[in-house]
Amino acid sequence: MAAVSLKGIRKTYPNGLEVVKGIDLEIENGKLCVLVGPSGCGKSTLLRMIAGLESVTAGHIEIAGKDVAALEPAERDIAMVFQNYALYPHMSVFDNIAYGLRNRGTPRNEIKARVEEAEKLLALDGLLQRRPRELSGGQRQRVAMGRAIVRRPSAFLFDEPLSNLDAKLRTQMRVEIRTLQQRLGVTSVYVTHDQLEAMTMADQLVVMNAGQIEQVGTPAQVYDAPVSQFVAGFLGSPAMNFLPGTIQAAGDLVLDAGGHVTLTGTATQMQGQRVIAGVRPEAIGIAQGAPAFTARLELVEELGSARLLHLRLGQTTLVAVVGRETAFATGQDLPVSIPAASVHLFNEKTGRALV
Amino acid sequence: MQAKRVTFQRTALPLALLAPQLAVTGIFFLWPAYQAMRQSLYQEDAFGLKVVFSGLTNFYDLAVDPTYLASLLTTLVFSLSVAAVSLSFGLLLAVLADGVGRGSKFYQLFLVWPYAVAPAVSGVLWVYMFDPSIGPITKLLRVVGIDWNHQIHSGQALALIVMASCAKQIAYNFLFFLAGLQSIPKSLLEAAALDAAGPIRRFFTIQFPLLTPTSFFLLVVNMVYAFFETFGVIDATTYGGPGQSTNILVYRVFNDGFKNQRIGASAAESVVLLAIVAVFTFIQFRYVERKVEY
Repeated sequence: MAAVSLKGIRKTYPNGLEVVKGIDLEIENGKLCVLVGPSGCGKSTLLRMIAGLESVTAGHIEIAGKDVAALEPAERDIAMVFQNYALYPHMSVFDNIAYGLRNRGTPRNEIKARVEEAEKLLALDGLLQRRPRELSGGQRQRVAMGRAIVRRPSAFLFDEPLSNLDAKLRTQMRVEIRTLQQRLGVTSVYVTHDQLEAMTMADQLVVMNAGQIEQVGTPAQVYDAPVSQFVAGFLGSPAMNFLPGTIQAAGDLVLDAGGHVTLTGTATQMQGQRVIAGVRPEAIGIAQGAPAFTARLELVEELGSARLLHLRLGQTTLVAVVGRETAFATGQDLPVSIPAASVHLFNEKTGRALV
Repeated sequence: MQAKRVTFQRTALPLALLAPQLAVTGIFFLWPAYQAMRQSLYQEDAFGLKVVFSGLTNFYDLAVDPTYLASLLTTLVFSLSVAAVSLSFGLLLAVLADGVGRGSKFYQLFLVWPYAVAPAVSGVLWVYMFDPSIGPITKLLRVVGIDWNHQIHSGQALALIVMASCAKQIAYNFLFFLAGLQSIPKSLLEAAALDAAGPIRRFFTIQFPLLTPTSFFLLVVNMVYAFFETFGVIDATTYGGPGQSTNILVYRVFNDGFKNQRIGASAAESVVLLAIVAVFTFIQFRYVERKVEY
């Protein structure tokens, strides 16, 4: 049974702006579902509708098998972690965590036990009497988590919880949240615009665009088989290269910028069709196998573990990731090969994947 | 962050630039204050013919004058009432206006408007509304069985000047409370809503505590206002009467000095008021500057 179930969710603001355009989504019990998409895609609004902080224009929301449409946020059996943590600045860490329990009339000794449990779980030892302003960013984040945990809800909702932290802390908290979520086994909905966060944390990855779901799947599924050019371009860093062209004779894709890419499988039957070929930077081969075309090397970015080559082919630029074995000099013309198996084809007009 | 600083080579230019403000401060604040302090140490006859140094006699006379002590008590009751009434109404209106989505600017404009009315004008209006014979509110009160005549009943007179003084302060407090409420991040209230706190509990456990600095600041400002700026209201409504019942300190200074021609006593009363405002200012600088971080 799905822990969180969304059916036909829509949100239209009074000014007529429709930000969520019909969302159907089932989130399995105990899984972490990441809603990812560019800003303005409706992911935060969707989360806030699940929480009950935003009214639903149309559709049904069920949490743990219960229709929550008529319920107040507090009655929905969910806990939320906000982007700015939303800690109560005038209360100690203890009071922050205990606030929701007190409001629900939990007995005093029970509150104490639960807060102390959260204290251990989140490594907040010795911080319970401090005020939020005396804590570091990571500690505040943990307190916000603690406030959610002690409630023992059916679902956690995370609204871009790591975006206020610096890069290093973000990586660390990402692991902490994921570990904790797996340990507690609580169904979670996690909103982020960061594709790396989405890929690394999700059991179920939901890519959203312009108020609609583009694709749902495991991170690997979505990464390996994006259903649209949008999804393909959104996930992965550096982003996928897109090369428009026409499929000529069987399995021969002629790129507009010049050069040929050999195709296999069903694509061989789509003669004469205009397509966009998507190739991930790590799939591009330099001076290996039969070259598809030669491209001029414009810039080399050193990543330490690898190098990014920025190549120019006619009017388009593409990025390749290569190991550090070979040194390349800018200005060189390099033979570029594109393995047939790694090519994603998209309809030029609709952006949908062609299989 | 480092503040930008302009450094002058010589002192003449900065002094010249400051001169207008220094002149205003000197002529209208420092000189009268000095005069008051000096005169409070002298006794002068009503015709100004004879001036005698009398040390602290004027202050001693005040300390043992039962009418002065009564006046001090009246002032305290009056000021605390003004502060309590105008703070609570200001806060109530601010909370209501904060909850309004559509047309909130309209409400804000009209709620702030009373602040633009001069105290004396507002005083005259109140006198008319509560006039014992022709006031419309007096007539209404008579219907519900209340015999309103602030010219006779001292409690009613005090109530009248409290109301008249609050009219303006409510608008002022409203403005500050509203700004304070709106600076509280929305996510805090949402978090509290998720934490099962209803609107009333949210107000008392989140919003009100976070407004503490604003409330404290306004308390001091309202006390100072009630102590010093309500002269116009009283002079337009009760003239300190009936009897001494609304003769608050600032009105008494005027009465003793200009009507009764007791210059020394009036000066001593001014100095006492000066000391009180100094205390208020000190409290404000000492405690109000603390800010809350969100």
